Amino acid sequence: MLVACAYRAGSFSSWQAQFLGRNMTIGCVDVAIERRADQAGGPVLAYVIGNRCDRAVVIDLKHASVIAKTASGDASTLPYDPGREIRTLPLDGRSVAGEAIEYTVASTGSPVQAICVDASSIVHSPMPDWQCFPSRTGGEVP
Amino acid sequence: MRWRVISGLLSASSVAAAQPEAPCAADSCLADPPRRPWVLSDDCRDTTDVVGYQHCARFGEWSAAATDTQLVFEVGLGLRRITALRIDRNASARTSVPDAPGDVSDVIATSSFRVTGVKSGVYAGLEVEIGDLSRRAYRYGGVVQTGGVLGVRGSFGRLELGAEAALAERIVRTTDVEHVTPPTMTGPVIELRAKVNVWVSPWLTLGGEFGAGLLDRSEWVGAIMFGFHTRAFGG
Repeated sequence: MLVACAYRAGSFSSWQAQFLGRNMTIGCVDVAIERRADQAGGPVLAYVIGNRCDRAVVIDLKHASVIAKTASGDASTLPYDPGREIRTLPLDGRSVAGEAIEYTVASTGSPVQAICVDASSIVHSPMPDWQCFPSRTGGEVP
Repeated sequence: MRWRVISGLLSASSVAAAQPEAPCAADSCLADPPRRPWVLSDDCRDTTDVVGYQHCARFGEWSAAATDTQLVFEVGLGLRRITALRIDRNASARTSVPDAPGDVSDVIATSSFRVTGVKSGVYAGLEVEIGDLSRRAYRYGGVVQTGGVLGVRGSFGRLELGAEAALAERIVRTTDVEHVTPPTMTGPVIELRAKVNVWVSPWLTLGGEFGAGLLDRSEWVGAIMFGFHTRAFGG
């Protein structure tokens, strides 16, 4: 059973979490990023990360590069973290992590057209891998 | 926290079948319900898994295995050469004298359990070992050995090698008289051991150990050990 519990590289499948959304592989991790329905404070991205390697890897959702695309240009974002919980943490080998984070978008006066994340920044990979998720309804995000 | 995770997993199926109906706060009534079983528990159920809105789970619970102290639980079956009767030499419980008085050694089967904590390749922990001395020099008997271990280990691919020292107290009871509790005879044990483990899964090892006594050089122990590690491949 404990063999089956281990995350299998490239499987994007785990008993712990569903790998929903867009799948990608960056170094030691398989990452699935899904844009959820926007909340009052901004768009929400859900991350599920599987460690392909036997050793722990650093997962940095605190400093992940996330920007909002608007008609008037790119806007910076901040993860909504009132409890100051989000931090850089290690993920054990062959294990799975999952978090959903709401992003507060700096006001540009224009509606958000898409939210983009550099998936490689989650694991401090030097090769950028920007993934953009268009707004579901085209609704405004304050 | 790990136990809450397990509890959540055990209850995940039932929770999925019956979503919580309790009213939620305005800031937590979100469109997407939590999708991770580890945010579920019997006493607290979040209606969302979005950071900042969840009340039961915390960010980063998935990291516990990599950040908590690494624990190793091991069970073993082994053989031990023991000079139990040396301790018994002056015991009054002896009701029949063996043909060859003095030290009597024997190889007995033992079972052991141990738990150790690991940090930076150094580990320390407690162990208990029991063995059956019946139908040997005496008709009835047993040995219990409890103590601590301190060792170092290193991984080489799927192989893990280690060396450790054990300091323990051995308790021996032997008698020929049925239904009579024999007196307890105790003595210290110091052993040096070598260990070899093979990873059979990220969290399970199968291995063996062999050791020799320092206080009594004629004593030795060998065992097959089955281990559960809280960190994949020993971290």
